[in-house]
Amino acid sequence: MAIQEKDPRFKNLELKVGIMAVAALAGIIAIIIFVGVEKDLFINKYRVYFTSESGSGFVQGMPVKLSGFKIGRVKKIELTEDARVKVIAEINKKYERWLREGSRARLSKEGFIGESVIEFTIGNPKGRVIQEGDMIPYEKTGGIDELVSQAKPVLNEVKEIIHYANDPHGDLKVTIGNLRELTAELKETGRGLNAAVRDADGVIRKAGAIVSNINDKGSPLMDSAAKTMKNLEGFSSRIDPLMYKMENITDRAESALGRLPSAAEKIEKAASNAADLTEALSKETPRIKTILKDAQETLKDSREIVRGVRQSWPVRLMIPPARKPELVPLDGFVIKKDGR
Amino acid sequence: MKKIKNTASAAFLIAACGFVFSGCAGKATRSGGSLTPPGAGVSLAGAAAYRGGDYKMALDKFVEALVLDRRADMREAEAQDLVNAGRASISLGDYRGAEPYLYDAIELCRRIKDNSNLSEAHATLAKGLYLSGRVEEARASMEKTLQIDSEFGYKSGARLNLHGLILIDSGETERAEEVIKRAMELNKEEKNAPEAANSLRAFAVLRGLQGRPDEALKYYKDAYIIDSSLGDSRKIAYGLSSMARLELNGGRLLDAVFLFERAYIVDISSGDAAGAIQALDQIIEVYRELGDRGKELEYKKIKEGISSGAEGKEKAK
Repeated sequence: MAIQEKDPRFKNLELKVGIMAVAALAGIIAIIIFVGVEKDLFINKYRVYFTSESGSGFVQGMPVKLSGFKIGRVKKIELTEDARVKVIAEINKKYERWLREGSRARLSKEGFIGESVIEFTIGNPKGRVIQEGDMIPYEKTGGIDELVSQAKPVLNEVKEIIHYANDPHGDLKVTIGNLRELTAELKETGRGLNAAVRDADGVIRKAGAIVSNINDKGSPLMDSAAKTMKNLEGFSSRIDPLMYKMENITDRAESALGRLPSAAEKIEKAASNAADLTEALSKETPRIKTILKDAQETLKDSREIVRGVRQSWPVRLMIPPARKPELVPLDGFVIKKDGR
Repeated sequence: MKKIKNTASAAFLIAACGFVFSGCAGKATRSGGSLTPPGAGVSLAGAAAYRGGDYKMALDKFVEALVLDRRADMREAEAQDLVNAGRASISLGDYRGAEPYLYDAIELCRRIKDNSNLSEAHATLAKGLYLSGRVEEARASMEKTLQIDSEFGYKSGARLNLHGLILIDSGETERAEEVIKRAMELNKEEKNAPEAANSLRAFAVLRGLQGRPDEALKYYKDAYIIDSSLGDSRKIAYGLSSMARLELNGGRLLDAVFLFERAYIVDISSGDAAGAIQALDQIIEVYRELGDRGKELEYKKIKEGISSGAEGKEKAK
């Protein structure tokens, strides 16, 4: 007793103990309140529900979003009497004005293989606001399985096209063959024509020699005949390049056709690889999903921690408030183009 | 023991209250956090460009912000973006181009009952109409602005100044004087220096029309002092030219030419070729009147150089 009275450490002991206890309790209360605010415990909420044929994809606690913005969470999932799945969502009251008649619920993914979320659509702005306990119609949407099932018929059609092009008795190959024959015949015709022209030329020269002794009335006729021959020569000389071009075209078509089987093989291989890939991807999706979900949760927690620290005292006082956009000044004086 | 218990309880209650009210628990409501418009950042960039005088960039940014805010159905932000786009168009000299934005803004503000932006939209439209020479339509738009302002208690020195100018051009000089006086008082009250300078300028224009050049000169000088402190080159040059014209009309040619030369220097330094050429025309005229042939030719050459430079730029565009 005597020591306690003299020792300065025991002076106002009750007060010191009291202050410590108060500080500790106050800190605990502050943390409870802070976490409560962060978890939206003090915010007004209301519940709505929707029903679906299957419960796969729905998880208790999964976020409910509107236009990409989180407005609530799935509170409960239960089975109805007619074996449908009833999903009850708890929504923050301040967003109720966007949930009106015409709003729909759907299960969607964030990104191609991201986390599943429930997405509510904005209803008719003039419609009735959805109240506590109301039902929102559910819209079914496709996922990656639907994409794979849509891709398969396309791949089959590509295969059919390749087989059709490759068929030796098919229209394409037969047409190319005919074209080849035609060009060969045209070549022959061209050669024949050339020979005929040369013969005609020779005959005409001889005729010309004979006729040159005849009087002048005959020579204009000869001139025009010679002109006609010249035109014919020109025509036949133009046929040769055409023949050559046709030959080139058929040669190229042939070599293209020759390359087609290997190209077709490659396309087939690629198509089957794509099918294998999508199958493997759909199998691996749950694992990738889990990894992504964990990463997202971690990121979300980090953001919440940073946000909480930013809003707590005294850190909040050190951060300047975010600037809001404003109107640029009107400027109440005008200088007209004439200077006034 | 009882003493410890009572002291501890009291201290606990006081500290708990202190912690809660000091905000340690964090805010339950966050203003502007979750529902910040998506175009906010872009709009701020546009405002920065506008303040820097890059009206083309400002217009592009405001239109970009408009698209983003429309996508998210943020109507108030959309109304603001429309008004800003209108103002940027007017500052670019495209008065007709501003009208679609402003009519859209008026329509939207009526629907969402955003009276503040509605008043701003009408005022901006009035400015555009006034600058494109449609004074009567400008007046009608301005009347709507004033009606909204009086109904909802909005005050704006800028809108009153603009109203004053429109009334001057409509010939109602007495009413214009009252309005500009009110604008001046409001601007002084709100310490709005740019608009106070505008009010002084408006008074100067009014006095000039009323045949009181000495008072007009004084008002221009007062406005010039404020404009110089704010660094608004366009208005500084305008003030110098206006004072020079008054000096010229008063027969003080040397004072006039000095002020025109200053106006020319300000225009050429801020890249306003059109303003510089106008000032040079005046300088040449005054030197001709003074009989100073040397100076007259010197400034003519300068004017030719600037004119050909400006033409070259136009052709290159």
